[in-house]
Amino acid sequence: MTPQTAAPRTAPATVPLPAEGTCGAANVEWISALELALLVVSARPDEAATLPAEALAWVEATGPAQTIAIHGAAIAWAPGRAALLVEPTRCEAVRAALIEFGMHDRDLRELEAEVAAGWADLESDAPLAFDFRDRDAERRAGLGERFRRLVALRARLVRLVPHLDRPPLHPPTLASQVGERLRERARMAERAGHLGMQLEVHERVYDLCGQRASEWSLAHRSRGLEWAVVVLLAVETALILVDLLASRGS
Amino acid sequence: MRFPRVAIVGGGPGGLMTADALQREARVPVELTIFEASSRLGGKVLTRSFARLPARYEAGAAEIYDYSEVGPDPLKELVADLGLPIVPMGGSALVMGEHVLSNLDDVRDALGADAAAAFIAFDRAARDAVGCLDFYHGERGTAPPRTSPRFDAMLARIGSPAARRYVETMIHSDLATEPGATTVAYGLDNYLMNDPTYLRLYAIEGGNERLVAGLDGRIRATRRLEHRVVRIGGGSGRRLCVVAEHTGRRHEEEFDIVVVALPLDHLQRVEFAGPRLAAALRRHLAHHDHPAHYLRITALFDRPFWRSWLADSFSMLDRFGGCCLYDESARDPGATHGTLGWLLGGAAAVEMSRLADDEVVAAALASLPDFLAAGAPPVLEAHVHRWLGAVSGMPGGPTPVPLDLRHRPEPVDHPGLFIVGDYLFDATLNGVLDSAEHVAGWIADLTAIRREAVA
Repeated sequence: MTPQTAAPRTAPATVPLPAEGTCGAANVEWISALELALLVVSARPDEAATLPAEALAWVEATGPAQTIAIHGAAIAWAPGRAALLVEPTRCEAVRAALIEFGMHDRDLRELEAEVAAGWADLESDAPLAFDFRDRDAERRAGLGERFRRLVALRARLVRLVPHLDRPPLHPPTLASQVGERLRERARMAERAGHLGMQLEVHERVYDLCGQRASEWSLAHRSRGLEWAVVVLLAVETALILVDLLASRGS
Repeated sequence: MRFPRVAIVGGGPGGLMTADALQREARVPVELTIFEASSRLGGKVLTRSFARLPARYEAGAAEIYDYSEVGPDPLKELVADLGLPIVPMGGSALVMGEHVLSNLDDVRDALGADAAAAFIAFDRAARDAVGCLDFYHGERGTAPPRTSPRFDAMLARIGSPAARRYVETMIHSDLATEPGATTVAYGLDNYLMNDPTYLRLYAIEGGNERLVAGLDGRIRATRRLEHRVVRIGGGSGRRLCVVAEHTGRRHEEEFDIVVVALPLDHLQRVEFAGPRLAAALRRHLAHHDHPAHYLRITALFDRPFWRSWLADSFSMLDRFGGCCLYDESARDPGATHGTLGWLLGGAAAVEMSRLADDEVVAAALASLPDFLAAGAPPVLEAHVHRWLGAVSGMPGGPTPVPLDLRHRPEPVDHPGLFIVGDYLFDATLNGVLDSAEHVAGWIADLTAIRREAVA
């Protein structure tokens, strides 16, 4: 068996698609939503679950691979490529579990990347959580934008977590065992927990920034009012003076 | 000033946990004395090492139940408090003949669609009968009593013989008795514990006996090792007299409170003096004495030759009426050797225990399926540990009795005599801690009230 090579990230079109409905033979499938080339190899039920060396080498061509062997199925997983060895009758269910894992892994990675990208903004915005001055007024719109983005990230994470941290299925199926093992190996529940903690830090900082900006805004408005009062008092004083001078002349 | 004197009879986990809990909860100082018949503390929690290689194995309690996903787990908190690292354990494989059944797909392929359907029907019935929270509260005193017929009646309702055998194999070694000798409630508990939603399993890294060492290290008590308590009865006033044998001589001591933390087979050998006390203990034993049996066989190999097929920390084997096969070397991350442990339960354990050690080891090795035996290297060293009558096949008895009555068999003339045991709850280390904490809290209240009355 020699897997056909593919470079999924740069040239997905070169990855040959599998024959319709086949899973019994070795073939490569391009899953565009995940940008993943998946090689499926059939195994006889009595064979030991070991991926052929060529399949492993094909996966590792894009980077170091995670390998898992569980109850007759074997999986190798690297960025952009994965190989699955499983007996034909269980192929569809295990393939679905693998793709489901891939989707959740992609979502989690995207969230991690977006939170990581926000640290630089957080560091520059953090002083505003304590002190907001006139010169910072032009940054209010940016703060609001980042806060809205943060709420969206939190919502995405909250929707994702139940899929990552779900209890094991019992009695298990091979597909459920593969999904659980992949999630466990990818430490998804822990990563989601860490992401939650990072988001909490961002939320606290931007929550405080929002409070300081509101306080500044209120102070700014009340200062105008104070000036109006001063002007009115000055006008009143001037009128009184005029009145006094006029009465003195008469 | 005289502090209340408390005797703890039995230096197993129940005795040590009672001493530890009492020390934490007592509001007045108490003077503790622990009597232990053997030369070591720890009872059924026993971690041993091989002579030929620096490799450990569990010769007694194999794993600890983890309820922390469902609710408070006092034992896990105690393990954490003692600073002991844990290693998770788990396994879904069951070997039937030459087939490894690790999931529902395997069951369907090997036993047929009808057997798989019958198994799923049994699984649903089990879940309907005992929910996750029912299981957690179980015999812990909060759930209503569960009066149960025998478990074999429920197993007989499984439509497919193959599925029935599959379920029996899965739980036989955990039951340590035959399905006809236990209740539906206990049988279902032992089936449902395979579901990680109900509970998870773990062991203590470096050996479960580290729990004993940890407790022993922080208990301030007089330890009387090799003191077999032979008689307990009334003493002067409301005190209790404990008679212990040591090097062939008998010694008497009086205590305000006596906690008997012995397994049932040892409890039967203690004489309880006085007609009322003797009758109460006879009732206690008649209700709780449903002996169950374990036999452990552990063999050391130069490599874990089974891992290509059985990769979990344990698997079930359809030999000996259903036994558990532990990968003991999985407890030691990084170990290069292989240690395989067989846990036999029930009638098979009794039958095998009559044989000489080398015969038992040979029978264990012969029980391996061909696909494993073919690649097995020679055994470097093997040990057999017999635990006949050491556990209960019907913890809590056929119908649960109130918690207080379980723990204080004769409250009228002997209010200072308490009983602690895993057999009063669920025959686990978690159960014995529940029992110990119940009694320790009670004694703490009693000693405080007495002190206030004296003052």
